[in-house]
Amino acid sequence: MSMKPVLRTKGPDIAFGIVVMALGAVSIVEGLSIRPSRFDPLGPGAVPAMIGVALCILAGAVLLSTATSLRIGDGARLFTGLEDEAGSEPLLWQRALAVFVTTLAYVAVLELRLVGYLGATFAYTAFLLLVLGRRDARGTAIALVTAAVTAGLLDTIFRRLLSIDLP
Amino acid sequence: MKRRNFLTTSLAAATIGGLVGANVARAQAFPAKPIKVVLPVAAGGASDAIARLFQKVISKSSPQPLVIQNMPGGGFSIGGREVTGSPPDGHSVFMIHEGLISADAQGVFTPGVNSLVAIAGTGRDVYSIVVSGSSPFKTLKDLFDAAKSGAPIRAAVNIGGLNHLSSLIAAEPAKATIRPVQFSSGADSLRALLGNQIEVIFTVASDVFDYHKSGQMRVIAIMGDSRSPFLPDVPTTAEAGFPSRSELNHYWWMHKDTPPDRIAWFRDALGAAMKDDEIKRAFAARLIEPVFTSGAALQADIAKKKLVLGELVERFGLKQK
Amino acid sequence: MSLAEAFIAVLQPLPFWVLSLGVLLGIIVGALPGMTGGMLMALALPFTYYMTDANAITLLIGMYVGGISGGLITATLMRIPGEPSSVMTTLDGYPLARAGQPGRALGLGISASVVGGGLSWIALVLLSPPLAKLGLQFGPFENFALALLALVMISSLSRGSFVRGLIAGLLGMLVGVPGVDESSGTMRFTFGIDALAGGFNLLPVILGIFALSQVFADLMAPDKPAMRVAADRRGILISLRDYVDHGWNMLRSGLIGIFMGIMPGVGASIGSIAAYTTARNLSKTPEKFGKGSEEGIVASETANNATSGGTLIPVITLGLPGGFTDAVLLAALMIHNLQPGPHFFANNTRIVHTIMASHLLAHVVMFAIMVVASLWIVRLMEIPKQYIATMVLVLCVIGAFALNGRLFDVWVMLAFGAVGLALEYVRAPLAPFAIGLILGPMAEGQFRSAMMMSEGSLAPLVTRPISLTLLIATLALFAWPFWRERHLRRAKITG
Repeated sequence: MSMKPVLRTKGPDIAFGIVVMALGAVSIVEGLSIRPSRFDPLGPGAVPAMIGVALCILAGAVLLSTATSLRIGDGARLFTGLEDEAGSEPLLWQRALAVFVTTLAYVAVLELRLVGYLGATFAYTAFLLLVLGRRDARGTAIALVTAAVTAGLLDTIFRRLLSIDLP
Repeated sequence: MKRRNFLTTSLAAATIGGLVGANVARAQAFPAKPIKVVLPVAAGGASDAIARLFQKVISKSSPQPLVIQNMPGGGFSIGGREVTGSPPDGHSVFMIHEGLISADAQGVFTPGVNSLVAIAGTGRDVYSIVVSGSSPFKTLKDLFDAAKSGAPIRAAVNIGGLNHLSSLIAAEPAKATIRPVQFSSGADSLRALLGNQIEVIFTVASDVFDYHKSGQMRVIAIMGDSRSPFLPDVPTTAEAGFPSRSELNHYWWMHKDTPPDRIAWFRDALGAAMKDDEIKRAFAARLIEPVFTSGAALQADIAKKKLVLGELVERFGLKQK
Repeated sequence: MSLAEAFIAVLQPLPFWVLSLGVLLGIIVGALPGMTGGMLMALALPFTYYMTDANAITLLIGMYVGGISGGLITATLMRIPGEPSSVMTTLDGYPLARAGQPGRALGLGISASVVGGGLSWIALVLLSPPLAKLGLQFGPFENFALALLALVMISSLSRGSFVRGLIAGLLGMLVGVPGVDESSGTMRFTFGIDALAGGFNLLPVILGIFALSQVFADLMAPDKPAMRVAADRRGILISLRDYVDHGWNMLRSGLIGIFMGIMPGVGASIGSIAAYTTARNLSKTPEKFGKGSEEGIVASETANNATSGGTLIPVITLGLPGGFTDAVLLAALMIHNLQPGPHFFANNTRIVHTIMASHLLAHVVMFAIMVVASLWIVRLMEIPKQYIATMVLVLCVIGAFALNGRLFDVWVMLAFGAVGLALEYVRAPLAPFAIGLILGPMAEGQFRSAMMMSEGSLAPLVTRPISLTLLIATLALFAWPFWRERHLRRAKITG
């Protein structure tokens, strides 16, 4: 399996470096602002601050390596995933984003208690299955039945059997 | 077009269902749905076991079951917020010992203990001072003498917790210093003592009874008014020359705005459960005093604890700003 | 009651049915993302009130074993870990399945699980007292050294992306910071958000980082024609030769798992990470790890099942729970009016032997169920993407909610889903993130307890023998990848 060097990640790498550096900075500031404890010499603020320092240094390394194209401890990844077929076809990120937004809406509906869990889950499941799948007669029917069964089953198991207070 | 139908239909169905359900609930007497008992501790601890025993017994005779919800974390705040954030209709109960009052005094219990009202106390446990079976300390005096002479006497405690407070209370009359070392759970503390990582632990008698009998641990004092009937050879702290008291009570709380009749219902259910054979046996097996407090006596007890614990937290510098 | 009698008792119709039900439910829940075997056990507690104490134990242990084992199914076939302890199995199980050998990948995992369980059973029955005593020697200094050893595995698992692996590990540790700092009682990093008072719960974060990000990554990948999986069970029952070939790995990983199980608070996740990393470091073909290495699958699955026996050792010898699942087991006993403690277990051999018998039989039942259902299970890979994605999302939402009854955990999970995707996009490995998340708080807590014990002195770290040994091992583990790479490079030059 050929791993083409992914040059297009220069922008994201810089963003990554900046975000990590920011997180590191926040950790340092927040950590140092915590009052030391009377009980142990290290105190509650020490470890977060140390993590922050390490993050800042490493983020600097990332930024440096991206900016100067020097490879500082960089190379192949361990977790196979997104770039198995790097660059061969464009990623359908819009689809993933749409699903993500839909999920956010689903949880928001649950949070605001607009509809009960049963109704919201049915709507969510049916919507996703229809949007992602075939919308012919057969596909639609399967999607609806699946949505109904899923929502019903989960609601029954969790609300009735396990007595968990669902929204 | 099809999609809109589904959404509309499911919305309509849910709304109608909700309205019907609400009407039914208003018409029925209390309890109208399962009663949620929130435990701000992880499943499997001593408090958890007691709560589940009551759950079992009360659910037998109640029209609606009791449901336990474990919500540990945040100095009991996560669980507390669940109860103070739920409607005060009597369907949410909070079960936790006076560690809650102490946490509130330290400023860690964010909902504030005054947003709750205690409805009953079921069972009292007394703290004991325990050393390892192989420890050179046979009496409390031995322990404090060693501490005062500079030897490191360390206690496995949960910083800010009741056992930590107990260690501070116990050492005060002797003007000795017992150094606290953080161990987050009771099991961890027991383990630490068995492994001789530290010198002493402060825990309720039921936790260590078996170890004491088998010689792996030695209870050197009881932090109560009288000796424990199960450990008749163990002196109280007063008898040992360093009077101090620390106890642990299992309290049940509800949102302070809960209607009095609903509070009474649950309180009476608890009172009836205390007479149940199973509960009686469980309390006896766990060496817990089967004390049931409620009403004015309970409120006075809680008020006193708020004062005492508040003062202790202040004095020992445990307040978190 | 002797051990043999306990076996016979569990093999009676009702107890055996209870055991099988527990294992089956455990496998299902373990496979499904969103809920873990531990949660299942806690939710099942009320149902055990009305059972006999023996049956309650049998059910819970069945669920426990099923849960740990079931995680490998979705981990292998979909790269979605059903349990945190199956995260390492995704690294090699999935690539092997994708390469056309799902049966073999599953088969290796299932067999490894049984062997791991069996090894830990032997330790449970024969070596409990001495192992428990060893466990007691581990105080804060030793635990810190152990956590350090495990944290250093981050370096082994991010060879090639060393800087990013380290960042991922540190970010994981950072996620463990918000909430009440136990060592001082102080609230940290909550920025005024009430819900953060309890910190980020492990499960929603793991679900987000691994399961959700995987779902979204799959959605982003262009659709391929549905994979036609050879619908035969080829490879499910691995050959005797395979057992021999993987024997050392199984034994070693099993021992690591047993050991990690005995340590309180560490658990199956760290056991599988430790075994996987060790297997990789000692393998003749380390480059295969992450691409479908059989050794990786075997190491991960043997270890996480081996922790099941290890974790029961302190329970039966000391009456002390080592982790959440033990605590639930002991709670079930307490509700049946049995007061656990050393005294109790010494005198109630019936319960102890029931635990042992249930543990072994649960593994046998698990093996049978998984092998028989394998034909059907393998078909899971053929389900159209939208169904898998939707189901996983729905299950994760309810699972994250059911943990604590808060929607906050669901929001956290979604947020970390995005984080997981982002990390993947910038090629930061996720396994180190998990290590940092799980081990960071433990390492910090143990270190600060240690400092309280020694009044600020670091000396005991090197004067206490166990701690010193672990520190040396840590240094060795840290240096190993670098040393080995130099050695290999030199061999290439001169060879």
